Amino acid sequence: MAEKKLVVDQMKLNYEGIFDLNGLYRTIDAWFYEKGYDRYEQKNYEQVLPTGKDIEIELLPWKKTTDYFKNILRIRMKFVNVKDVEIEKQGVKLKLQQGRIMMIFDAYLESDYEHKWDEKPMFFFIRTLFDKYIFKGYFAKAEKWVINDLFDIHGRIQRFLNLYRYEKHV
Amino acid sequence: MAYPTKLVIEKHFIRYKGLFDFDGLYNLIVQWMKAQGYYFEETKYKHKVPLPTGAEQEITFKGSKDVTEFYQHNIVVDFHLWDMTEVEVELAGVKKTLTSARMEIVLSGNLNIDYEKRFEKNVFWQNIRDFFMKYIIKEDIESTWYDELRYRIYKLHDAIKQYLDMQAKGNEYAGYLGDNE
Repeated sequence: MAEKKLVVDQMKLNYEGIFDLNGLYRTIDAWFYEKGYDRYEQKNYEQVLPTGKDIEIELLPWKKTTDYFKNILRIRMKFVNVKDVEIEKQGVKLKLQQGRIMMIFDAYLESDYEHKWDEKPMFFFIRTLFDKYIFKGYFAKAEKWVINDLFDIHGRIQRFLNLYRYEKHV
Repeated sequence: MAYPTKLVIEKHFIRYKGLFDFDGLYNLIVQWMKAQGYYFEETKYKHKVPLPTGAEQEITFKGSKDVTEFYQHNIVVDFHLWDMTEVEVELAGVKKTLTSARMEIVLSGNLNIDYEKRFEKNVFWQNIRDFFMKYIIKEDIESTWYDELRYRIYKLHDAIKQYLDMQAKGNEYAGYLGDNE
């Protein structure tokens, strides 16, 4: 079985106020496209309630960085009490949304995603040995790639929402 | 381990609760499949006895397309609706009947390789096919045919979201297939 390691566990982002929901969604989608991720939108739930719209989205894009490692990002978004508002900015009327956003980010590193080293118990043993002791450096490097990608998308969303932010490096 | 002859696309879930034009959505999917050259089938239509809260329906659409003599694309759309009631609304002076319900749409698909079973005659030909798929046309299968189906499904996914006027709509990968369909 391919091994899936949780590299970043439940990094959170919360926001309450006015925002452009479709713009935010497209920014995230565009980031995945730019970075060469394959798209996977597992969930997109929307409920129209008297208090506003409740939206739940789960994105699980992935990218094969080498023929052995695969980055998987998981972004869970929940928008609560989303209402349309119209504001005027520099004489231009804009249709935006108001509500609460809760986001949870996770990052996984999957190794041997092609299951080449799963076929025989001996292969599995060799793989574990090599991963742990010989290719430890490669593993750490691949982990850095996925963490950097997650920090990058996190920062992009923070910039989009105009939040206080700091440069995150691994 | 033999290379699979059926590569499955993960399920994509859309849930919507509110008012929408179900007839329009139904037609949108049918027309979309036909326009893309898929052979359309309605494999399931289940209407349950309505409760005081509304009716329940389950509908399954299947679209299949023989892209070459070796590859076949299949798209499956599953609808499940609960608490379905018809509501009459007036839009720009015109009366229209819309549906109020909770709806779940599950989009999935698969790439069927050697769908004509030309290499199924005996073990020798099956091994030839397996070798060919594992070492010669693997890239072609995964990067061309499988990916095309994935992103084709995303186009339908986005068309449904646009139709329902959901907030999280749009597809930055729209130009990925190099067509404007």
